[in-house]
Amino acid sequence: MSAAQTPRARAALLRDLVAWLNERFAPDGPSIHAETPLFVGGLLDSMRILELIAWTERATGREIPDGAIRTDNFASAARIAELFAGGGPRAHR
Amino acid sequence: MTAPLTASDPRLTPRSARHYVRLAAAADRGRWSVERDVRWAKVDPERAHARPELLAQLRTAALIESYHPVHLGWMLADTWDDIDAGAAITLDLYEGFKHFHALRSYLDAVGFEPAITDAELVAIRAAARAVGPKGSVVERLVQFMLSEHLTSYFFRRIGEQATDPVLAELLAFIAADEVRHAQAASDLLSARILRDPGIVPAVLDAAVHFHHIGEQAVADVPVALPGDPLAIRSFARRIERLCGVRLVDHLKRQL
Repeated sequence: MSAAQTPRARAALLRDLVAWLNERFAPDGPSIHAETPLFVGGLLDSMRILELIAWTERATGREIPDGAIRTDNFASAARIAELFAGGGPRAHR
Repeated sequence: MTAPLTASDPRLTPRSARHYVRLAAAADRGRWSVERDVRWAKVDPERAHARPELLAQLRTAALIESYHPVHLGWMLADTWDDIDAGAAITLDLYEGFKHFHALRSYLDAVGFEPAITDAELVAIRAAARAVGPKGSVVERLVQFMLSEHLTSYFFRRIGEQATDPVLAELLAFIAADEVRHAQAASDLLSARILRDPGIVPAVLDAAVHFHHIGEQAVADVPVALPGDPLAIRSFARRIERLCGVRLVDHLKRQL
């Protein structure tokens, strides 16, 4: 297991991601938490997944493959951290 | 013996190299008739009403198609000095009208309520005209290209779910047209980038801030398959092919 896959790395990614999501998408609205569904109830429209991918790629230093670009892989901050903190080999493709 | 010349004959090199000649040829290859190619006599209202939510989405889609004369009218005026753009937009206008005509005819044929009224169409146009066009020609071309791209997926997905085979066939015709419209807009942008590579950042930014054209006409642009992965990936790839830059990489620079 690489350093990036440790629970601590995942926790750090999750913390930073939740902070960014709140700043970017909910500056005045209800807070976004780790388990908040991102694409249900109109919080984010599905094209915003590209912004999530950009943020995740920058945070992890790895490119997310086309096959992993599915909204269920980006359903919540917790899901993103779980799948991509280690480079995304467990992401559904 | 020499074969007779046609408009797309390769012997007419200077003309066949023109973009609008290729557009016209592609439109001709994809042509279909609302009157002759839709099996109106086989429309099955009972099967159609098995999925009323699809019919409601198609009603909204028809309203968006009927809005093309407003925003494409602005585009036509703003690209008066671009011969290819004039041809592309004219074809889009004609085929967009066909889509509206066919969808409204189908909804009328199955007795969907509320029926679309001309007053409703005029009200949509009046509201949009009160606001006017937003953004540069390049930004609006990007918006149009990506809207048509996503619209092709919309009609394709609704067609896959359609319970009436006649509707499925009709939506396949429309989806194919939308692919061509997206490509025509892409080609226009490509030519502009070739002339002035300095517009690439504007193209990328327009994609980042994309809003569907339909938002100018209706409150909620219908989505057939929320989060459609194929539509999202191909959206990003279309921009990458055009600009030579991954849209995600451009977004990263803005974070």
